[in-house]
Order: sequence, then structure tokens, then C-alpha cells
Amino acid sequence: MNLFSWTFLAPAALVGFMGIAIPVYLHLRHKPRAVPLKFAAFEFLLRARRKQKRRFRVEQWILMALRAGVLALLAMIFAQPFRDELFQTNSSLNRRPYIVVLDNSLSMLAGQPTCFDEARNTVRDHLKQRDRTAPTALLAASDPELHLASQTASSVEQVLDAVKVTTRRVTLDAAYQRALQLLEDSEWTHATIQIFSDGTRSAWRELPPQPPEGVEVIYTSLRQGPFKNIGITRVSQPQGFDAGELDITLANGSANTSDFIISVVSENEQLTHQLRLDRFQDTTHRFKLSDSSQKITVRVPSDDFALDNQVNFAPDQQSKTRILVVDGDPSPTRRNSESFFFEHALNLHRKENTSIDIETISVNGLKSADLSEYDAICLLNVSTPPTEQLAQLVSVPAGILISMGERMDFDAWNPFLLQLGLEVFEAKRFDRPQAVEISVGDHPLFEGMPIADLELYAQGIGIQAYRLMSVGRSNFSIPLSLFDGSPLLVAKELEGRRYVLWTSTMDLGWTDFPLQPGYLPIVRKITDYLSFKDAKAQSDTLPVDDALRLGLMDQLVLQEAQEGYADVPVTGPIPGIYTRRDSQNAQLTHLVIDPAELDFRPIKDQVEGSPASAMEELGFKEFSRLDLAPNLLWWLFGFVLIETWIAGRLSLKWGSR
Amino acid sequence: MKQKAFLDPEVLAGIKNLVVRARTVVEGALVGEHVSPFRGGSIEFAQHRPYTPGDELRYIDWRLLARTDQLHVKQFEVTTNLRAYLLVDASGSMAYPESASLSKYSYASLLASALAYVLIQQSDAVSLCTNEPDGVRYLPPRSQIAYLKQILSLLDQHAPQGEEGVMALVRHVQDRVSHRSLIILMSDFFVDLDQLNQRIKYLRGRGHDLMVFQVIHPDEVAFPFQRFYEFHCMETPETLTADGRSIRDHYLEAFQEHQDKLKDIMRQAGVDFTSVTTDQPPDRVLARHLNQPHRAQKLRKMY
Repeated sequence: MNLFSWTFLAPAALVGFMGIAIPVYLHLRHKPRAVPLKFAAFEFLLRARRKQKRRFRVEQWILMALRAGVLALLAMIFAQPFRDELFQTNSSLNRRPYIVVLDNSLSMLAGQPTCFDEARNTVRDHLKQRDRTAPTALLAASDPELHLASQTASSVEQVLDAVKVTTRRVTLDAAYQRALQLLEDSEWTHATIQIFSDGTRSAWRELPPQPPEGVEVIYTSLRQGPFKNIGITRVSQPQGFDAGELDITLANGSANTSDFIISVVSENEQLTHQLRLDRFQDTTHRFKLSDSSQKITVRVPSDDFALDNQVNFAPDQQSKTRILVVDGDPSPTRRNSESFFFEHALNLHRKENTSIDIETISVNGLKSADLSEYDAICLLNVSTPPTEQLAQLVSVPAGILISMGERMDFDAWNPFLLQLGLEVFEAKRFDRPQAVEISVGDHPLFEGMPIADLELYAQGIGIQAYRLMSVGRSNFSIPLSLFDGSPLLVAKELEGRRYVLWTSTMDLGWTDFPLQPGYLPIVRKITDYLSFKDAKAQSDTLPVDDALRLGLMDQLVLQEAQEGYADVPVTGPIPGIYTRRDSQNAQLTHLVIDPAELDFRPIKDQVEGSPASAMEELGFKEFSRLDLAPNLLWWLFGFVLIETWIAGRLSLKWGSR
Repeated sequence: MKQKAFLDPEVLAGIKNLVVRARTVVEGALVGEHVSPFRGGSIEFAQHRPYTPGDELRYIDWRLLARTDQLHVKQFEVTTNLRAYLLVDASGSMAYPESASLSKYSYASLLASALAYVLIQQSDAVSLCTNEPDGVRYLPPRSQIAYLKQILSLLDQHAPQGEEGVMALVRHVQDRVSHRSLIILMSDFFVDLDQLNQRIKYLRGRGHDLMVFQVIHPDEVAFPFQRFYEFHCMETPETLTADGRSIRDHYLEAFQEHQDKLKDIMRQAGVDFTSVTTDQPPDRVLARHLNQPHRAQKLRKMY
């Protein structure tokens, strides 16, 4: 209804204009001044007045309270009160374009009933309230394009049950962007996008952009109250340690510090341990079982998110890493040999039952050795290349280290090295030690190596002599070089084998390098690289999404699904124990939930020092804001009406006061 | 039976001469079967009348009984020593209503005049006591016919005003009346009833006979006021603004409490009490009061 340029949402309220008749009536009805009258029985009037005054006081109190109420209501109306309520579609919005962005990540299965079920039920309720042909769309976070063919409320309702939770790591970013794109493509104006999420920070990869003009974004967090979640994010075997040892990483995804008991159960043994974990913290604990079982179950108490409370783990039963060290310059005094320090660096601090097996032989011993048994062959200062023996090396993967020392005959080596694209020249000497330039780049050899260890290496080496190497067009990487770029260590993977040439300086004039702290991590990194430890570790325990990204799922065969997935309809790889089809040694792969899904840190905490949440800062509404002023106006109207009635009645009774 | 017609108070009020008004009232009151209650003991024989149970045996005419074999009692002409004191309240409240209609004072004056007329006609001595702005106006008891005119003149000319009312009159008279007398009080009795009770008991203790007429206006009984009024007290400068309708119930309640208490006081004191409104015919009021058997018996006992 229009009056001048005004629009009334509730024109029925104009009936209230009839109320104007009341003051008009009172005005006309209002009595003139009291008629003077001399009256004899005045004493009785005084007595009557005394009785009447008691009632008058009560009426005056009511009148005063009403007037105070009127003023209070006026103040509140001017203060524009509002209340945030969960968004509900209603009759005024049932034709407005409505896009549902549904988070179907694994964390939506938290709670009982689960956030995902609640989200679907809420969406279904909203859709039922809408016009059946109203423009509507449903975008699942895992695949925003999947249900875009349905663009009416009724068709979206039909496909709603087809949306399932995925084990993949998904965020809402793509679906939200697709929703904005859809609005632009469909030319839907004044639309509502409602995002259903568990309200966690991990639901977004990055904060979404602000909605455009005319688009209302309702951010509905299905999580009611704080979740309690202690989750097992990773179970793995530490490299180079006992087979019975496990590294278990736990995360407290809830907002409170939690005390809990973790139990590690094998076929013959059970370990329990009391732990405390601060809010949103994770920790890794190492457990050692006395026996090496085929299957170990790690369990924490059940909580709001059940899928991360138990992990079954099959320890790696693979044989030890075998390393053959060929000492090209053996000394009668063991400590004068490079192999002594090399071997010592690999074994230092390792326990008896170590996962690495080192065998040291002389060059002559090569003739009788079966090189195919070893994962890595380290040729230390060998004068001539054992070409025939290396040709028999059939083990793949395997690695060869050529440590170039004083005794190395580069003329004999070069034919062999030229096959790899390398060439070695004579040794070069400096007058004084030269600094080492460490260019780690992104080479896997130094991946995961603490920067402190690299700094130790750089400080510990004082280069006085080295072999000149030319990598030419061989595509060898140069992880270590001198300040002028001269290679100190080159590495390359070729046809399933890894090669490392290292001018160790040890035999190019004796230095104290092997006694420096930086020597040990470098040697271990080299042998790990040569024995393909990184590749094996990659397939050991990894999140579902990483397995998908690496294209491993075609090679994996599920042996045992993790607990809790049997009754849950999910899409994507099921977390559990897998075997690889192409693995010669039946290596196991453990797929786990992405740790981000276990983090229930609310996104509301993201903006510090601001009363608004991160979503509100972006213009998202977490609730429908209900303006209370119109309701208060009705109260005010009622108060004024009652006050007028009582005041009028008192005026009639008492005259002018 | 012919309907008895009584005198309209308004019509009476139109009669300017109070003597005429008094005589009119008296004649109206004593017409027909009514007998003066003041006819009592006398030394001069007047007439015989048939004996009725209750008559004193000493007045039976034994000779006439012997002759006629019928019981007759002798009646004598009045030669009385009765002293009647008329106390007419002339306080401000008695002036209600101030309009042209009959005020309470006018009505009380009419009753007092009629009684004075009757009493003086019977040679009783009549005294008048009424309020004046500066005190109490007192006319001592006299029985001359000419004195009646003086009494009526004083009543007629006097205008009620001031706070002093019937209590002042009683206080004035109580120490001046030595013999047992008839004391007639006429007031609206809007006074402190506890004090009034003490005075009434005192007078009764002195052996006086009391006739009490409460004269009130119909407005004071029914409280018919329907508008806003600024009520002014007729004796003090006090005012009260109120809506007649809202205060009526409480007023009537307070008024009825007062009336009940007043009647109770009078009943306990053995006082002839009559509450009249100014719209009642005065001759009827007078007749009803004077011809009560109770009143007649008392008068005969006294004289």
C-alpha cells in the first residue's frame, strides 16, 4: 500500500488510526471545572474521600507504571533492538532465488545427530516452505557442479538425499565461488545464499570474498555448542627404529583442555596411558610394544566425532635397509678409514635392533658380493669403478654413492660417469678453507632436514681441496656447491636408481669434517635418499586427499577399513589399511583422515579484538536479524491505550487533578 | 376511606407568617381523633370520658359509676407547670440547601413553632435556645400567649451560620434548667456523637424528658449528585473536589454508619428520637410523634 512515497509492510496497522477517536472523544467528553456546592454533611464526604483515596493510590501506581513503561518502550524503540535468529525462509522470501551451499566434508559427521543430517533436514524444511518452482540450487562442497541441473525447489529436494559426505579434503571455497558465478550467470538478483557448515575454521581454505550487492549470505553453523574431540591423526613407525615402536599423533580439536586415556592394543599386549592435551593442540607420542604384531589398534575415548577415535595400524614387516659400504682406502688402523666414520655416522644412537644393516667390505670384496641384496651401495674413495659388479646390480630401487677421495682415478671413472652425463677433473686445492654454499632448493635429498643441521654442515666444513665436477647436460641436481657454484654434491634418479657423487674432502687432505656435528645428518640423508626412504615413507601413512592427489588409489587395495565407516554413507576412499598392487614386498599403506577435518576450531575466533566474527566482518549473516522495534511499537500502542483508558477513567472520577 | 391529606412542606414554606404556619401545622396534627398528649393533671374539671385500660384509678369518677354503672374517668383543664426548652440548631449546616427550597433550619423552625404553639396554648412555659454568630441566643421559659410571638419572631428572623451547633445549645441549657423539664432538640446532629452521647446521658440523668428531632435533607440521605463538585463545608472553609458518582457509595456508607450510631445512642438513653427529612409533611411528623402511646404515657406520668 502506498501513501505518497511511503510503503507500508503492514497496512493493517493503519486500523490504529481509529484510535484517534479516543482522545477526541475524551476531549469532547471532558468535564468542565467542578461545580461549587455547599454541602452540610461534609464530614461524611471527608470520610468517603479517605476510603476512596486508597483505591485512588492503587490506580495512580498502575498509571505511573504504565507511563514509565511507555517511556521505557520509547527508549527501546529508538535504540532499535534486534534479535538474531536462525534463518528461516518465510512467505516473503519463498520466491527469492535461494542457493544452498552444503559442506559435505567428513567433519560434518560430528555430533549426534550429525551436522550433516541436521543440515539436510534444515534444507529440506526450507525447500518445503518455498514455492515449488522458485529458483533454487544446491552446491555440494565436494563437487559444486554435480547437482546444478536441478534449479527448482522441488527438483533440489529430490536430489538432496544424493549428497553424501566425502572423505576427501574439501572446503567451501570452490562451492561459494561457484554460487556467486551461478548468480551472475543466471542473472538472479536479490538472492539468498545459505551456507551450511560445521562452523569450523577448517571448512574454508581462505576467507571468502564479500557477497555482491543484493546478495544475502546466511552462514549457518550446525554445530550447537563446543564439540569435544580427541582424534588420532596419524600412526606411523619411526624411521630407523624398532619395528615395535609407533609414533602416534593426537589432536585436540575442541576448545577445552582434555584428559583422556589412549590405549594401544596388539595381539598380545595392551598399553594405556593417561594424557592431557590443551585446546586445539596436537602432540606426538612414541609407544613401544615388546612384540611386533601384524595389527595394532590405537584407541581414544569416544567423543562427538567418532571416526577418528580408533585407528588400526599394520606395522611394516619389511626387512631392514641394507647398506653396503665399499672402502676404497682401507687402513690397518680402523679409525683412519673413511668407512669407519661413515659407518659410525649411520649407527650412532641407533639401538641394537636397528632397522638398518651396514656391511663394509674392501674393493676386493666386491667380486664376491651380491649387490642385488643391498638398498644402497656406497663407494668410498674407490680408485676404479667396479663396472662389472655395478652392471649386475638388478635391485630396483637402489642407490649408488660415489664419494670422491684422493685415491680416485678420474681417468678410470670418467667413462663410467660419462654414461651418466658427468665428468670429473683433478682435485683443486685452496690456500685457506672456503665457505660452502648450500643450495638445498627443493631437492628431496634434504627434504625434511632441519635448517639447523644444514647450518652445522656449512659451519663444520672447511673446504681445502675438492674434485672438480662437470654436470654438463646430465640434469644432475646440485644440492651442495661452493660459494662460486662449483658442485660439491650432485644427485640424480635414473631408471629406478639414484646416484650421488660427493666430494667429501675426507681424503683430499685430512680434515676434522667427520667429527663435526654436520657430518652425521648429511650422511644419513644421503643413505636415506639412496635407499628410497622418502618414497617408502610417502606410501606409509598418508591422508586420503594426498593419495588421490598422487594418483595412488589405482594401486591401492583396501584390506581393512577403519572403524565406524561401515554404517556411514560416504564417498571417496575409505580410511584404512591398503596394500599396493605393484609392491614387490607387499608394502602397506595407511590412509587417514585429513588432520584439518579433526580441527573444530570455530571460525568465530578468527578475528581478534573484534566483537564481530570473521563471517560477520565479511558481511555474512550468521543469523537472520529480527528487528524488534515493530513488536515494541505494538506494545507501546497497547500501553498508551491502557494508559489513556485509565487516565480517562480517573479523569471522569476525579476531575481535574 | 378518605385519603388523609398532609401539608406540603414547600407550601408551608410559602406562608410568610410563622404564627400562621405553626397554627396550621398544629391544626393539621391534632385534627380528628388526635388527643393532645400534654393534657394532664388539673384542678378544674373539664369532662368525662370512658375508662380505658391503663387509666389511673384515681381519676375514675366513682359517683358516676354508682349512677350509671359505667366506668368513666375525669379530665381536668390544664394548669401545668411544664417547662419546655426548645433547642433549635442554627449552625451553618442547617442552612442546607441554600436554594429557594425549604432549608433544614426552616423545617426545624416550623416544627419548633408548632410545638411552641401547642405548649403555650396549654399554658406551659416555653423557652427557646438557638445559635447566634457570637454565642447562644436564649429566651427564658414563659407561658404567656404574647411570648409565643417573640419566640416565633426570633426563629423566623434568624439565619443559620457558624460552626457552633446543637452541642453549644445543650451546654448552654444544661446548667440553667433546674427543674425536670421537657427538652426538645432539633438539629441535623452532624456532630461528634461521642460528645453528644455524654450530653444526652447527662440531661437524662438530671431527669429531663428529651424529644429529639433530627432534621436532614433528602440530598443528604440519597446523595443524588452526578457531576463534579467542589463541595464547600457550610461551617468551615474546607472544600473537597470529587465526582458525585464515584464518592456516593463511600458517602452513603459513612452516613449510614453515623445514623445507626445516633439511633443507638438515643435508644440506649431512652430518648424519643425522630429522624425526618425536609420533604416529609411537618404536621404528619408532629402528629406521629405526639400521639405515640409512649409519649402520652410519659407525659401523664410526669404531670
